[in-house]
Amino acid sequence: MTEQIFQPREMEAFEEDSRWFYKNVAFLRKKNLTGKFVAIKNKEIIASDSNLDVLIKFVERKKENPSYLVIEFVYPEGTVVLL
Amino acid sequence: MRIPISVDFFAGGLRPMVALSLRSKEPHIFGFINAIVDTGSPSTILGSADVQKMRISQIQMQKLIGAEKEVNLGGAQMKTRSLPEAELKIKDKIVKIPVQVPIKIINGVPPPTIIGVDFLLAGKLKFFFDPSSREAYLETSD
Repeated sequence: MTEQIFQPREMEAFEEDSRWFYKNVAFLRKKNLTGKFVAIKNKEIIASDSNLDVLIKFVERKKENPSYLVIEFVYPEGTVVLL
Repeated sequence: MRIPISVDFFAGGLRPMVALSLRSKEPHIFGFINAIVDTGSPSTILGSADVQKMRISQIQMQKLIGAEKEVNLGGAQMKTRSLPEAELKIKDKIVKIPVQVPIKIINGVPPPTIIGVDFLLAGKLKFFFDPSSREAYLETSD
């Protein structure tokens, strides 16, 4: 099995991408990403798919470690998640 | 010392959201995650999307300890087991607690990662949340 080499990332970059995601959810819905998982790096969507496994495999093929990336689900507008 | 937390609109409402790193030595797990601070939850629970993104394998899952626990959260019913010594780091504050990891979703949509009261207790943290001014923070006693 070949060992995958991933680029390391800092927490600050992750926090920036998280902030970008929460501020741009409406924009992402307009881009037809509702109901999909999105992977974000440096305030850009680098992958999206409704199936998380597929998205993670795609991200890994790009030599990115999904553990360091913001990967979030774009809930449909009006969805309320009660905890 | 105050640790600021962002207040963001997420899944239907304003939530105190925190970015943190999770590290465990055995099983070896590391990743960055976003979590909702939820004082209604006694336990800290990993979201299943975060379990997947941190690539926690079936072998690692077998190293989780304790009996399977049935948890109802956010309309989801799931079974969890404990990651015994998870190190959660927010800014410079490190808190070691057992974290519940979903091993099976029985019903419903799996919720996101939740930081529960156990985190506040172990870290001796106070939690302040003012949605009207969109201000939230954790306060350490030191």
